[in-house]
Amino acid sequence: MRLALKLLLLLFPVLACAEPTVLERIQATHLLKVCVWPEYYGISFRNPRTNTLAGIDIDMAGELAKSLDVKLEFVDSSFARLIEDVTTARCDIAMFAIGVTPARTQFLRFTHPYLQSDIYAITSRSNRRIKSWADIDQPGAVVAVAAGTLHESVMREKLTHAILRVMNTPYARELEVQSGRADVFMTDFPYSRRMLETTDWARLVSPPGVYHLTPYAYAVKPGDDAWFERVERFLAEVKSDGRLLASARRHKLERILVAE
Amino acid sequence: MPALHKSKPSRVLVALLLLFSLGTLVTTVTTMWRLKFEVIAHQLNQASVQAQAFDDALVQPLTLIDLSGHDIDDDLDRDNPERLATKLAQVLQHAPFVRSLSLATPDGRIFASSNAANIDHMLDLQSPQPEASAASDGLRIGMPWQGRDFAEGRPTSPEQPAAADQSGFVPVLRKLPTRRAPVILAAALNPDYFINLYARQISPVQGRVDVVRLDNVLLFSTRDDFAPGSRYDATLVASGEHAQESGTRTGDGKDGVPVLTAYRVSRNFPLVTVVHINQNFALAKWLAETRTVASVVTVGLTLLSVLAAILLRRLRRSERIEADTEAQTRLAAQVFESAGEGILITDARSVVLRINSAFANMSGFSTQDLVGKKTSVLSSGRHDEAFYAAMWKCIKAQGIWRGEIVNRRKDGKLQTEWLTISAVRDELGRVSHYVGIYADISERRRVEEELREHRDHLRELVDARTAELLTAKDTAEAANRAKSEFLSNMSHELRTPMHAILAFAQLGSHKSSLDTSGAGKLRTYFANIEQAGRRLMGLLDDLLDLSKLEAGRMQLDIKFHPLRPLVQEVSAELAMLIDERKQTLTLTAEDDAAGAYFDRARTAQVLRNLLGNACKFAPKASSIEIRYGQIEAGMVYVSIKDVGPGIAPEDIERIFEKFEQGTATKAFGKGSGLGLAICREIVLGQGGQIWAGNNPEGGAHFTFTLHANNPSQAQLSATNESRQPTA
Repeated sequence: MRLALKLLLLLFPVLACAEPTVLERIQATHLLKVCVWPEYYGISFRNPRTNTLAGIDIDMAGELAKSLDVKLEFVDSSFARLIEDVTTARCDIAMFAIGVTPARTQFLRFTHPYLQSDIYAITSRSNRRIKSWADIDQPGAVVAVAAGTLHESVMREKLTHAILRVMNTPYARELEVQSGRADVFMTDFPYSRRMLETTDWARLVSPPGVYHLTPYAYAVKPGDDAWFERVERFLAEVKSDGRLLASARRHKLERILVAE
Repeated sequence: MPALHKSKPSRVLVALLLLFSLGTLVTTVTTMWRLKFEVIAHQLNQASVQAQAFDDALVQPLTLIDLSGHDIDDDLDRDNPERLATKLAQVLQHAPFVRSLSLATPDGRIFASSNAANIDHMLDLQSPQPEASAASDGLRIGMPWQGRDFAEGRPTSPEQPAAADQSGFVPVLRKLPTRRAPVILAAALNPDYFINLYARQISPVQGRVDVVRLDNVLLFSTRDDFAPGSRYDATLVASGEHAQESGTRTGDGKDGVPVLTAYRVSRNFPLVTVVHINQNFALAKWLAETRTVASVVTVGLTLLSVLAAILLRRLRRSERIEADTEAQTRLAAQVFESAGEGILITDARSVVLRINSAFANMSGFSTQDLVGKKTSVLSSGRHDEAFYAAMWKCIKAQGIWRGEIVNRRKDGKLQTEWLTISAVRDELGRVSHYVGIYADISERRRVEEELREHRDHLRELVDARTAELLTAKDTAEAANRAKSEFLSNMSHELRTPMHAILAFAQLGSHKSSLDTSGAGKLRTYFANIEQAGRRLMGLLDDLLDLSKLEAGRMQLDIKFHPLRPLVQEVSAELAMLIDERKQTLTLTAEDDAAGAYFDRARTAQVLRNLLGNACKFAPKASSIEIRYGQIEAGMVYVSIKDVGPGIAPEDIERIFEKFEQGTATKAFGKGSGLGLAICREIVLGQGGQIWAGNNPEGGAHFTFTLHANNPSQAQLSATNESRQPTA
């Protein structure tokens, strides 16, 4: 009996390691898997000309892997699949400027925010109906949003007159506006920059003041304090030593940087 | 003609400048004008290219719609609208130029659509172009609609075009000849897609792009204020046999702004793409360059004008100087010809170049006689080589020679002339010419000779008369000296018997006084003889003194003496007489220590004479004043003033003459008229002055001066020369 107790005591740590933390797994496999949305310009954008990823979170993911001294693997994701990808451990962390919304907080654990963006509208240059922000929520106006994005929930709540049209993909909402089936689509600061810089038909409509500020953070699976603390420590380090600021400047995002 | 010739340079310059300026202006204007038309032509050409490109951009989507009709036709399952809708939506996934795709029955009712809201809405089948034809199932372009899609839109018409602030679309219809019944494919063409595409090439500021249906209905425009459905300019695209696939035009746009227009008629569809370029915008660069060129040309021409003005002014000034020089030359020529003196001009070798009329008249030579010959032809032979050598030496040294010369006239007569020869030098200082100015002075010489002869004769007469006068003067002086000597001798000679007479008169008077018997009368006689003798003795002494003084034989012992003792001594001498006449003598010394250089005895004689006269001529019980002191630097004076009858004005000047007495004092008699003359001689002999005058309060005053410092011989002589001649 005493022997059995001793064996049980010896096996306890082994039993405890049966559910290794993410950090332990990363260190064990020497691989960090990071979910990114490859359409997120300035954040985690895959350039179709070169098939390379670029953006502030690509930089930060690289820094995180370096700090862990492990290899890095990017996993394509999207806002629609975000929760599933993180909670099912398809990736160790989601690093693509994820807006901290109550809906997501139910399933994900967010770090301190590092970016913060308001909501902007993109319309067609030739659109005769939308001249200013006040023209958006008007009868007859059609507003497109991408499904699963924070804009869907926010606009669903805010629009009172305009018609909200939820599209499956970000491209679909752009096509809606470009074809004239919708008047505007709602997006954030980084994506609006992409539209203005890469298309010739888009026109930015900014809110006259603060419309709906959303903090952006990294998301991990809840319940793993060690991993969460490690990511928080990393975020604090890149904020304090200027790596985050340098990357934000490189990708023209310093306007929305949360530096503290 | 000469005047015209003179003003030619400035006129030519002005003409050249005007020509140049005009040429520059014309060239600039024509060049800029040509450039303007080149810019317009270039812009029109570019607009044509753009119209073609825009047409291509329009045709390709329409072709895709046309082709998608075939795709749908092959897979058409009219009984499954949902599947059809999905199929239609799939077609739209990469077609932003189409807002919706719908299928309709031949009567125009939509039964399937990518936009479910369109179902059961009716299409307008009457207005599309070209008109429906059984032989063709190609695309037909409908009237533009206002609204986002068929469900919420309405077809426009020229009478009811679309609102400017509303979105719209253009229905594109295609008949699908299916196996069962015909189906109409209706695409809602998204004009914004094309407007965005066109506006990237031509901004609203630069111009606009219109897409027009062939029946002149505006389908859409890049300008917001051009309403789709409105009637378009029917003159742009000719129809019928004059129809052109493309063309350009210039003119005013709809809003009056000049535009450059190019159009392109679509090859397969009843569409015209029209590009309007704002002419002002197109010419903006040309205008800026024109302004720059105009500024440069203006500045250049202005500078040129300024330089030309300066040059012109200088030219005119040089012309004025030239004219002045000519005028001066004419004046000089006139002076040359009209001068009274003869003028002869030679070169540097003395070869005659020119003579004036006066010279010709003077010398008898004509211009032809002298020009080209040396001036030596005028030589008279009267002057030796040394004369001419000195003359040329002077000319070389000083540039001019003046002198008298004797030349020979053409007729051989000699002529005395006053000649001035001047050397004229060039800008390098070398002698280039000689100018000789001749004045005939023969007549003047003759008159001068006559005058000289008269003068010589007159001198002889004057000399003779002077000799006579000198002789007379010598005679007079000798007579005067003889008179003085006579008076001196006579005085001297008379004094000896007078001493005897006086001695015997005194002896007689003394003897008679001893003899008391009836000798009173005799004593009176002797006393009278003595009195008369003494008066005669005084007269003789005066005469003797005067003659000595005048003859300069009296020796004056001039030494320094104080005045006070002298005055006191003389006053004491006359105190008895003053007392007799109950007169008062006042001595006033302005400078009590005053003294002077004088002969004491003779000066005492002067003072005695003057004080005696005062006592004599002043009334009894009157006052007499003697005043002495310094009268000026180095001179002292002694003045005797009385309150007597004074001196008549006419006597003041002559009272010091010999044997003269004042009119006012003549009545007193007893004077010889020599006292004041002697006084004057003594005072003058000591270098002083003596004068008389009347006092303002009455009476006379006599004043004489003496040197306070030792007088020089010159001062003594100067005063002596001022004495009146005594003859």
